[in-house]
Amino acid sequence: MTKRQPVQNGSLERPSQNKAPQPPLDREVLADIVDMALTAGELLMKNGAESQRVEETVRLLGTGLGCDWGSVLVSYNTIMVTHASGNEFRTKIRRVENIGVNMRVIEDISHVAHRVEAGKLDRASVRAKLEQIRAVPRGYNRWVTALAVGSACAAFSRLLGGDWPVFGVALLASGVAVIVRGELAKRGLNALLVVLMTAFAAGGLVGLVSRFQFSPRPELALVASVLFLVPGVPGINAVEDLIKGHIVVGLARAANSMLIVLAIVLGLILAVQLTGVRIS
Amino acid sequence: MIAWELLMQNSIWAGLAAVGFALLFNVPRRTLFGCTLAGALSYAVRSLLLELGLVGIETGTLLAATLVSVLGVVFGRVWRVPAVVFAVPGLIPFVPGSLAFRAVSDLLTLTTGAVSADDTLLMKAVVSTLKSILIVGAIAAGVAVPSLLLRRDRPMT
Repeated sequence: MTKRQPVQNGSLERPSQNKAPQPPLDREVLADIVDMALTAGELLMKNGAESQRVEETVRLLGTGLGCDWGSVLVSYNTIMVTHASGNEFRTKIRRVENIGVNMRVIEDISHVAHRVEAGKLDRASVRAKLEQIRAVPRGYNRWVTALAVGSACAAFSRLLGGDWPVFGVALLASGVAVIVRGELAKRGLNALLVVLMTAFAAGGLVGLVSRFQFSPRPELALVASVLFLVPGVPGINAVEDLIKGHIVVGLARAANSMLIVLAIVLGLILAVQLTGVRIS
Repeated sequence: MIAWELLMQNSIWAGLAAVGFALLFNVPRRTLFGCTLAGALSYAVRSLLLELGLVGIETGTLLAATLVSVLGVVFGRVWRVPAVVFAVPGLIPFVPGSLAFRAVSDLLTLTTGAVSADDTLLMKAVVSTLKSILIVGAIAAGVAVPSLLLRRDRPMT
């Protein structure tokens, strides 16, 4: 009779880019690492990162903190990860809502990932960093944002060939619309409805002002004032995901971007028809 | 004859648009200048290409969007931030807002039936719809260029 071999957990799986084998970790430590990796991934996803970045960061936080290997699944609104060390492994799923774009958070997380990779951060300091990043409020004051976005949309109206009255009206309408969007978003309405209502508010304002015949081409102000609603980041992420092989997430993002564009169009059309802007 | 003055003015407006959107996306303060530069430079390049009559607006947008995303990668290395920080605000000025709006409003006018005999409206609607779609496609394709060309052995910027 031959002697039976001891059974090994997960012995068929091998790390793809294995360095020297790392000392095995406790289950509790592993759970902690999984939690932090997911938190980093969640922060990235919530703030407008593409799937590749999320996946690499989540995996890197595991291997960088002492796991042997990690597998990550990024879907449109969920992250799932398995990190393993020795014969132990831990798997966790986290649901994530896509809420907006904040480049600052993406940059901060990317720095944390770099330093973990370089072996300069231990578990405690990674946790502290993540808490800190999560606690930082949205950077720029909303009035500053409103002014900046207003100026940007007004500048855009000049690019479209608008005159100075159009510039002024676009500045006003988009500035107000930014505040309106902030207020609506706070109330937890459906994201598409928020876009629609914001576009309606901007368009309605331009429409009302156009009663005073401020310019021969009021429609330029109308278009410029909703430019900030255009789903630029989701659209670009959709393309990035599609070409990097995250096809399903890419398609979902593309569909979402199209819905947002439709919501903008619908809001504008409602505003045009109710206020009767003359379109040349 | 190239209208240099208008070109300069428009680049400044494009830079302003880019920096405004950069603030909306909450980019780090130290990168605001780079965002402005990316927006202004790429818009100037597109305007110049169009002025020279070398390319149509679709191809021009493709080239300019490629430039923005390449600049994003370069600036990202310089300022040590992800390339998207520069790419997204820089691309905003290329959005065919006015054209798309005209397309939608022409299409809606068609459905009212008031102008059923008017072929030019139909043509206008179709042309502006197609142009908008092509320009958006050109922006998307331009964005994709660096990630297609760069093989990343080292993950992330």
